Amino acid sequence: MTALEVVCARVDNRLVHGQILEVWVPKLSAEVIVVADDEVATNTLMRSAMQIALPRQMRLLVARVEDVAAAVQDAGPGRALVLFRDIKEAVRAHDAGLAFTALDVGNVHFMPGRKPITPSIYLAQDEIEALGKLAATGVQVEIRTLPSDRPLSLFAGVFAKGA
Amino acid sequence: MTAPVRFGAFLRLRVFLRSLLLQASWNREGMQNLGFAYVLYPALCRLYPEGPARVAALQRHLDFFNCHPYLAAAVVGGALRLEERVAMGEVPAEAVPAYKRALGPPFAALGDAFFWGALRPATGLAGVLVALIAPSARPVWALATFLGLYNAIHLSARAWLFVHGYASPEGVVGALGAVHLPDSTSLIKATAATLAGAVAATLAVAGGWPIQTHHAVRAAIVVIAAYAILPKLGPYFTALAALAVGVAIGVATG
Amino acid sequence: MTRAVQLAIAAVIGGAAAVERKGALQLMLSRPLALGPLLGAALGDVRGGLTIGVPLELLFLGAVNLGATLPDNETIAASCAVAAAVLAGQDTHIGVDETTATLAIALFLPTAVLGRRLERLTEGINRRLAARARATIAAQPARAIRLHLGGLLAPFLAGAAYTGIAAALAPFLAALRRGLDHHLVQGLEIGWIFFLAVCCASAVRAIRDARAPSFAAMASGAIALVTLAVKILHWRSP
Repeated sequence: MTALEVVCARVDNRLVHGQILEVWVPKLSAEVIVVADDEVATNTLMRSAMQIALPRQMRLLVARVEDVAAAVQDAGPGRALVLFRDIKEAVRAHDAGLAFTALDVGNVHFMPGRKPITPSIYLAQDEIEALGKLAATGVQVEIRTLPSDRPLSLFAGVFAKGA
Repeated sequence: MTAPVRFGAFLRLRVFLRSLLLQASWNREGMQNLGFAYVLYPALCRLYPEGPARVAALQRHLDFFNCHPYLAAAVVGGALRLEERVAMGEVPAEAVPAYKRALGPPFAALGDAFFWGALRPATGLAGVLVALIAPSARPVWALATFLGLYNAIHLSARAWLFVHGYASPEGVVGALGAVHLPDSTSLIKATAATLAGAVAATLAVAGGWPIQTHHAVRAAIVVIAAYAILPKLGPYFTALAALAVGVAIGVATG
Repeated sequence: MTRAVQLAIAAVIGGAAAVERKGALQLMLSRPLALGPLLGAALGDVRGGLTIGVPLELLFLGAVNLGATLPDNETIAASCAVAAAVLAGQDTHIGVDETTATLAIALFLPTAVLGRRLERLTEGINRRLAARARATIAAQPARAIRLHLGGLLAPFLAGAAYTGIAAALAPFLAALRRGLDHHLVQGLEIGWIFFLAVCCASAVRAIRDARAPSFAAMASGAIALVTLAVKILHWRSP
C-alpha cells in the first residue's frame, strides 16, 4: 500500500471549516483531508457533516489520534492535509509515529488560562512548552492562520516574526 | 416524564428573525456565542421559568460557536429542537453544544464557499454587467439583478435550512448533502469567471478600445499586469498604484 | 434639500450600511454595487452612485470575511466615496464624471483600510460585551442577553462618522475638481481607465478557482472578437 504524503499538519480548533477548504486546500493542492480526532472518529454526525462540505474530488480520512500514523500509511497515494483539534493531539500523533516536518498552528480558541498570541490564537503556557519540545525534535513549528499572514516561528520558547 | 414540548409557529418565527442578528456581537473569543444565546433566548424562556434552570440553559450557549451566518440557520433550527428534547429529558443537556460543535465548522465551510466564494461574486458581476450593457437603462435594473438574484437564493436557503434543522436536527445534514452544494459552488464559480471576463471586455468596448487594436492590446496588458501584481500588493495598493501610473501617463502625453 | 439634511442622510445610511455588512441581515445592501445607487438616490444622484459603486464592487469582489482575518472594509470606502462624489458633483454642476469619480476614489479608498482597524476595535468592544454577558447572566439574564445588540452601536457610529465627514468634505472635492487644468483632467481620465483595469483583474482574482483566469480570458476574448467583427462589417458596408 502507498502512504499519503503529508503536505501540511495543522492545529485548528474548528477542524474542517472555511479557511481550510477555501484557502489552504487550493494553496497546498491537497487531495485528502485527514482529521485526527478521537471525538470525530466516534461521532457519525460530525463525520457526515464534514463529508458533505468537501468537493467530490476530495477525500476525507478520519482516524483516532493514536491510529492516524497507521491510517496514513495505507491510504495513499495523495497529498494530505492533517488536522488536529488541539496542540496536545498533534503531540500525541507525533509521539505515536506520524511523521511531519512542520506543524502549522492555525486556530486555537480562547479558554481561561490561554493568552493571546495572535487575534486567532490563544495558547496556555504548557501548550507553548509542548510546542517547544516538538520543535526540539526537529519539527518546524509555525503560527499562521492564513497563507497571507506573516508567520510567527518558535524561538527558544517565544514566538517571534521570522527573518 | 413530562408532556411533549413543542414550540409554536410564532415562537419559531421569532427565533428565525432573531437569527438575522446572529453576528451583532461577533467577537474573537467566542465569535457567535452571545449571538446564539440571543437568538434562542425567547425559546429558552418558554421552556424554563425564571431561575437557575433558565440560566443554566442560557449558559450552555455562551461557549464558543461559529458558523456561516446563513448556514447557521440550520444549526439554530436543530438546536431549537434539541432544546425541546433536553427539556423533556430525552437527551442530556450536553447534546446541544455537541451538536453545535459538530455542524458549525463544516457548515461554515459550505457557506463560505457557496455564498461568499461563488454566489455573491456571480450575482455582483451579473449586476455590474447589466449596469454596463444598458447604461441608458435605469440603474434600478443593475440593483434588481444583484439583490434580487442573490437574496432570492439567500433568503429561501436560510428559511429552508431553519425549517429542516428544526424538523430533524440530524437529518438536516443528509438533506443538505443531497443538494450537493459543492457541485453548485463549482458551477457558479465557472459562471462568475465567465461573467468577470465579459465585464472586462464590456468595459473595454465601452471605452471604445476595439476600434483601435493597439488600445485593446494595451487594455489587455494592463489587466494582465494587474492580475499578476494583485496578490503581492492587494487590491487597495494595486488600485492606488494604477491610478498614479495612469495619471502620470495622462499628464505626460497631454 | 439643504446640505445639512444631505449630510445627515449620508451619515445615517453610512451607519446603517456598516451595521448591515456583518452585524445584521447581510442582504448585501452594504455591498458597493447596492450601496452606491441607494446612497446616491438618497442624495439625489442614483447614476453618480452607480458610477462609483461598479468599480468598487469589482475591486472588492473577493473581500471575504473568513472567520478570522479581516478584509478591507469595502462598505466604508463606498459610502465615503459616493457621498463625497455625489455632493461634489452637485456643487460643480458637472455631476459625477470620470474625473470626479477618480478623485473621490483616490481620496477615500484609504478608508477601506481604516475601516479594518475600526472593525478590530468593534471586535474588542464585542469581546467585552460577551464577557460581561457571561459574568452577569446568572443575576440578570434578560439584560445580559440584550448586551448582544450593543454590538451594533460601534459600527453604526463609525460608519456614520466616516460617511458624514466624507460628505462634509464634498466642497473641498468640488474645489479640487474645478481647479484642475486640462492636463490633469486628461491624466485622471487615463487613471480612471487604469483603475478600471485593476478592478477587472481583481474581480477575476476574487473567484478562487483554478479555471477562473482561462474562463475569463475566453469570455472577454469572445466579446472582443465579436465586437471587432461587427465593426469591420460595419466599415465594409457603409
